Amino acid sequence: MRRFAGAPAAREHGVLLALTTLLIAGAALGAGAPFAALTVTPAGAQSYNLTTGVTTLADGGTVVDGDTGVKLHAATITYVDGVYIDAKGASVVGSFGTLKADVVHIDIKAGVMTASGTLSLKRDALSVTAAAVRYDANDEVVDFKGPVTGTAPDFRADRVLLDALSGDVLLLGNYRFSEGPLVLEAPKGGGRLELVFHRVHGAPVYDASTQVAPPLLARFSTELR
Amino acid sequence: MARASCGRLSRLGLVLLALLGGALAQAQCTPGPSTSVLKLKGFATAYFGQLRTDTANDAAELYGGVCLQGEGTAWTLRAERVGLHGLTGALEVSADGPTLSFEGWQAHAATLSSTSRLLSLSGVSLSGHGVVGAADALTLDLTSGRLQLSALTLHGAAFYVSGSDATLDGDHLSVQAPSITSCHCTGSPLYHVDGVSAQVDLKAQRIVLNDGVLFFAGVPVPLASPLSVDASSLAKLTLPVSVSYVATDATTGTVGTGLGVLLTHLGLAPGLFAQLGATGLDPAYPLAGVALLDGHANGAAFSFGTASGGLHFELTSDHALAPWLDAGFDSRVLEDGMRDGLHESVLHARLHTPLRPVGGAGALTLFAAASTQQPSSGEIAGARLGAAASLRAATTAGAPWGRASVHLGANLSEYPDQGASQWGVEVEPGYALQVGPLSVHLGYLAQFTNGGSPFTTTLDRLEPVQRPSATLALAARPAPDWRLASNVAVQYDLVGNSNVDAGLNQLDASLSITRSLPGWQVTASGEAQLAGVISPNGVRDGTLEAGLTAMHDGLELGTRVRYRTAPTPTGLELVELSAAVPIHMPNLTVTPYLALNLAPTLAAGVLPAVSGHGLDVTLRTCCGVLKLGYRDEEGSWTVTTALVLPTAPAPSGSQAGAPCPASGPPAMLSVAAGPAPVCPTPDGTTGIMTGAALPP
Repeated sequence: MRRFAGAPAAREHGVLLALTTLLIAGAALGAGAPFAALTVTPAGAQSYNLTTGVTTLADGGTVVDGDTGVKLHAATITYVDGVYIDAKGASVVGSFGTLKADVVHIDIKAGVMTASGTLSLKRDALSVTAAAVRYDANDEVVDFKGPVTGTAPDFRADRVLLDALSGDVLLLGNYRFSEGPLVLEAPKGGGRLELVFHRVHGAPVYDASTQVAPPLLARFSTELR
Repeated sequence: MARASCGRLSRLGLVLLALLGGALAQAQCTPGPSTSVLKLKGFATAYFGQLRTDTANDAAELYGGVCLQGEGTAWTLRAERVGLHGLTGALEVSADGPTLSFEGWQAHAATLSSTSRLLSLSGVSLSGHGVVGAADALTLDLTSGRLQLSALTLHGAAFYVSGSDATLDGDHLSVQAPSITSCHCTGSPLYHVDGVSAQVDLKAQRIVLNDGVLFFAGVPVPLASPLSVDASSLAKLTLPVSVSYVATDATTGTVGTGLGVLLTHLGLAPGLFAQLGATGLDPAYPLAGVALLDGHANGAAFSFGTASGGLHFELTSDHALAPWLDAGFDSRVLEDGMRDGLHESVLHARLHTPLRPVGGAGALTLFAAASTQQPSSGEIAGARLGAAASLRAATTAGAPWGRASVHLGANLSEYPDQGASQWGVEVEPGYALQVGPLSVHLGYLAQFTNGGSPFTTTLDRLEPVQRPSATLALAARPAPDWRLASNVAVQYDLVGNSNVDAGLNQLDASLSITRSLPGWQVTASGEAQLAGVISPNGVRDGTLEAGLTAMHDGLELGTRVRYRTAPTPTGLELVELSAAVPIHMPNLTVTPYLALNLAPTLAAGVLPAVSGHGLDVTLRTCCGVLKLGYRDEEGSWTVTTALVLPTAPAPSGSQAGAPCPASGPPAMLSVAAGPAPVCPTPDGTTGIMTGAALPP
């Protein structure tokens, strides 16, 4: 099911919706699937191409997934109902944290969000920039592609996986991790470093371990295949 | 003061095993496929298998084989697991079973507890620079590079050294309260040398000990300071046992004390020693105890006690007032009979100068004395005032034409209490020549005097002497397994005095031939004393003697025959059979010796007489081989005390000591002969020996 909320102004050859519109998603997207219950709120004009079925929010707007809680706010948004969403100058907030990226693409059918361009993600005790990111809303794992840089904690890695549910992180490839007087470098040829999220006296922190816990490896099994 | 504790030495045996065990856990100190790299800013770079941090405790742990490589200082530490604490504050490092490598040292420890500036290891076994050892604690100052050890024991190529503390500076180790021994024991060592401090030159394998005291069987004997100890100078350690034999001297009238054994230089306090023992241990002389207290300080020395049955007191004080002038004061009370009960005090001054152009020296002595003597003829007492001049000159030693020498002496003494005076002039030329195995010595002693002293010859009375003498000696090895030795000595007195008659007083000739056979050594010998034959006077000996001795691995069989022509009684004096048979036991060999004279049996059908007896005991200990023995052959005593030191097993990579012959018999050192190289024997020992070959 999709809910649609738009601004009253009409633009070009699109359809003007004066009131917030609720759109029902295609029957193919079953209830409970990621990005299956989207509410789109235009920030200004929107246009709908009857031929292609593409809706364009030239002034941007907000898209919220009622099931996952993912909220997309972008300068421009283009989407095809039940198929995809493209956004530019986007900020996406979800269980994975807050992602800012030049370009965001959401494959609604697959439940996968990818982002590229100038890109950063922030969440408790974690701040990451990367060249590209892929978020699979089905298993709620964020896959950062390199070079990936963290400023909190301080690290660099070829690739980083984030468990959006637990906050645990896995650095992969040729990584470098710093904490206090420690500066850790990966073995020659690359390795894995687990950063386990937890709270100490209420403060969120990460503990590092080169010996990755099997549950975390299982958690990232799809991405590590 | 630390003591060499052999108990702790057992830890040394674990060193290699411990180091090996440490090595098994070592990580490569380079990045690798399974080695991560962690830089600890301002401290070290860590190479390790695994890491985990513990933010809640501000800590981290490296495990799976860890190698820490120090920043700035060349040290490396390996451990299976290393803990890091205080990551956001003062960094602390801990590890169990770490191995530290530093400037050639390898130290394996039970634990590491360190800061970023100081590595502290406890329960340390270490090796390097030719030594292995152990210490309770080791600290390495990462700023200065200084390494300190506490309660350490080091095992070098030839010795063990322990100490309370030590500091390593390059390849020099300064040890406090050191204790040194060469014993490789599981219990207390037989001897050890303790000191206040010592400097160990690890490169030269040499120890310089300050204020050292030798403890032999618990008996303290102060040593010269500083004392340099290495593989060749352990010989400077002398046993605190003195064996002497003082026979009555017929030429001077001095009464002998016979066989004496003394424990010498028993340290009581700095500069204060005791001598304990006895003289007259042989039946020919009266038994007497010796108990003397000796001391020295600032150029003065004293000895007080009892010796040879009488009061003994000596005080000497000598001072060099100038390079050419000495002065001193002596006082002595010698009631032991050797000096006719001398009581005396003497002030003296001595001017002396070397005379290099003539290869000699000159001296002038002035003295004033108050003396008393109590010979059998009655007491003599009075002042003595006198002067003595001497001049010695000699040609260069080693010249092919031999060496000529001369001693000139003159003295004058006044005895105001007796209104007497004595003068004496002495001229003693000599000539020595060595040509191959043949050596010749010619001498002449001329002493002119008026013999005017009221005192006895044991103090200062002179007597005329006109005595030519000559010696001819041959020592040759005509074949590799043959040795030949021969000696001819002649002495003739042109004038007689109270001790000797005029005439031929010595004409002796001897010859010995030794053949070395596999396992055996056979010696045939002959000796003739002809003075009593050519110029009999009722005292001079006239004998002919022949002997045969065979020795094999401690077994000694011998026979001698001697015929006497003078003085009476003449005839077959000695037909001797002798045997020394070693009895081997674990760590102990006892060799009794017995000689029987069959001459009385042959002449009168009586039982053979015991002409000689002896006993040698060889005790093999962890400190070496201790040899004690005596032999009485017709009243001629030989006493031997010897300690053959073991060479401590050299650690891997140790450096050799002083150069030693590639082969040959074990080097032994006679105390009287002074220091000499001490070399490993075929069974891995070095030798120190004291002993005395004692005339009858």
